[in-house]
Amino acid sequence: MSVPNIIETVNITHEISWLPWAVSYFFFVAIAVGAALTSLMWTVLRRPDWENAARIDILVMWSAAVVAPVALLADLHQPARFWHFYSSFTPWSWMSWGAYFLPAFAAVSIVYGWLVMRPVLPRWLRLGAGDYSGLIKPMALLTGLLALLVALYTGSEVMIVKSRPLWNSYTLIAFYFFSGISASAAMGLLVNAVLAENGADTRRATGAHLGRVMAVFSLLTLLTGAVWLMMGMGGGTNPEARALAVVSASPHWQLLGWELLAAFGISAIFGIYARNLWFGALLGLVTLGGAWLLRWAVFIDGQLIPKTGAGFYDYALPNGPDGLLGIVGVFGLWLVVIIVESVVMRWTPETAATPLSEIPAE
Amino acid sequence: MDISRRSFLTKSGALTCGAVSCAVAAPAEATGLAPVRHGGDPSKRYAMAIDLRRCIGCQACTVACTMENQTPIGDFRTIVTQYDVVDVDDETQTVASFTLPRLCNHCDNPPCVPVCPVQATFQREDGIVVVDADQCVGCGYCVQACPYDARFINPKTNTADKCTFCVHRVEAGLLPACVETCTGGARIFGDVNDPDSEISKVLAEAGDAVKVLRPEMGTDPHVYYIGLETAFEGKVEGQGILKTLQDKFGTGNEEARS
Repeated sequence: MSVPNIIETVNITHEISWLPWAVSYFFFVAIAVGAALTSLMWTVLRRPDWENAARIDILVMWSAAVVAPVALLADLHQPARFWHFYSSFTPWSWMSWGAYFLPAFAAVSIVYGWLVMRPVLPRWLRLGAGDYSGLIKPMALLTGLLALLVALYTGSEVMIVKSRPLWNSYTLIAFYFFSGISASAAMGLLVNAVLAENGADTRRATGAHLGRVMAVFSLLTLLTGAVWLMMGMGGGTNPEARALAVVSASPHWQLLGWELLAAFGISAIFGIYARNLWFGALLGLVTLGGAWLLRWAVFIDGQLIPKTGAGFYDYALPNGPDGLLGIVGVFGLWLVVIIVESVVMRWTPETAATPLSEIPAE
Repeated sequence: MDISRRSFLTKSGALTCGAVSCAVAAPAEATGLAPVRHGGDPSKRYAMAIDLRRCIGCQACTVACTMENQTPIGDFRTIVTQYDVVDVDDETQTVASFTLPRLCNHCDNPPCVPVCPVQATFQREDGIVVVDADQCVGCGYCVQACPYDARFINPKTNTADKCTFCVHRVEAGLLPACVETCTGGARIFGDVNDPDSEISKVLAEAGDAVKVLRPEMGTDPHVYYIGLETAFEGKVEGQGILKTLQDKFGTGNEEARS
């Protein structure tokens, strides 16, 4: 190793201010957005081959849309003051817009999912016998619009931070968007593997379908990575080049890069074999790991790059709520929601094999 | 069915109106499309000059700031970073030391202000950037946006914290604590709008030697350095102290620190 000609002898480690809660939020919200958008293939475009995948998308969308705002609220150091977002609307701040887009998306997506899944909901959750099927398409379009706004604001609020070259790249919006859709299909593969009532043939077909979606969007994530790398290697003073100059020499960052390449590479190459349920679930886990790691690298490792000082800041994951316990808690909440969904649903071999619009009321 | 749909639409309409009226009730400064400065004397523009030739790295400013502002242990509104510098091509040269006091730059174009989603952080008319700790939600967005790592989330108040040029002292006619205590007289504070102020004279005398940190960020910082080497203007390309200790002692950080 060459001897550096500058050694920093006195400085402090700057604590991260966006905690692992932020990683959880960006992870789950991207999944909710991805699941909402892919479900439109059936609810709006009426592609019949997307129906079974769309049912799973809605389960995934619901669970992620419930978990994401909880994680975001926990990332505020003063969560009880969340109402300040509404008493002080600040149109020049992306985060202020997000305070409107996110709850609107979460609420509308839950209503949209309810309209779609009404035939398989128990009587008490159907809220009457009226026929609201005509509302599905407008609510689906509204959900899609809000999903795009959430994707836009989550990407933009990070992308505009000029002080962090790693964040200050337009590719970040594409990274989050593509990997979010891929991760939503990946989470769908996990759900599909355990939904035994669907019957083996339906599950295999759905698995193959979700696997293709996952593979395509993992490939797009990789292509975004290639674009970022090319922009970085082109030199100059663009944010990508400045970010690459800082991280490329670090063994830790090199490892992160290889891990991301491996996760999305495996997902893109083997996604087409997701017809096998357990292999599909395994691929789903790998892809979810990639989508999580991407956000972890951007947020946690990204905050360890000093803006003025030398080297990198120090970080160790705390065990408490702001660290490991928080992460476990968020995934635990997701698990509870998805279990409640599957328990409540009238998911029988008959209802699974019948198009939703043709399922008779109990 | 029609009745229930109408009722649903009416209720959702009422909800929307409620949300809109909440937004309309926002503070007056929210009516524009950019943050507006408020508070402070508009005839003044406070700034600081730091003559690095006079800084001896004694950290008296760090201690004075900590005592004055009661920052929690481990968090600092100002600190003097220090560097050993060697010329690798000249083995006969002795190691030189470089000291660089860092603090909020009270930029004229502060990136931390427009990102704040609740307008808790704002710039006063006299240029001082402050945080309303009662309004701050602790989202940490300003901490990310600051190009100088000058902000942090105070673990006691759970709100954003930063140097205020000791605004409470300035308003009482006193100097900021770090300036008051600076052993070498390196820190000079004052109103750059007043041509007769000490800071205006110092800056005028130094002329082209006056530099700022990270000028490429376009933030127009109002902490001016005299004697700042180019290698230290931006992110320092060197080895961090922690890495040095880890290399020397091998294992985990805790051991290296002990």
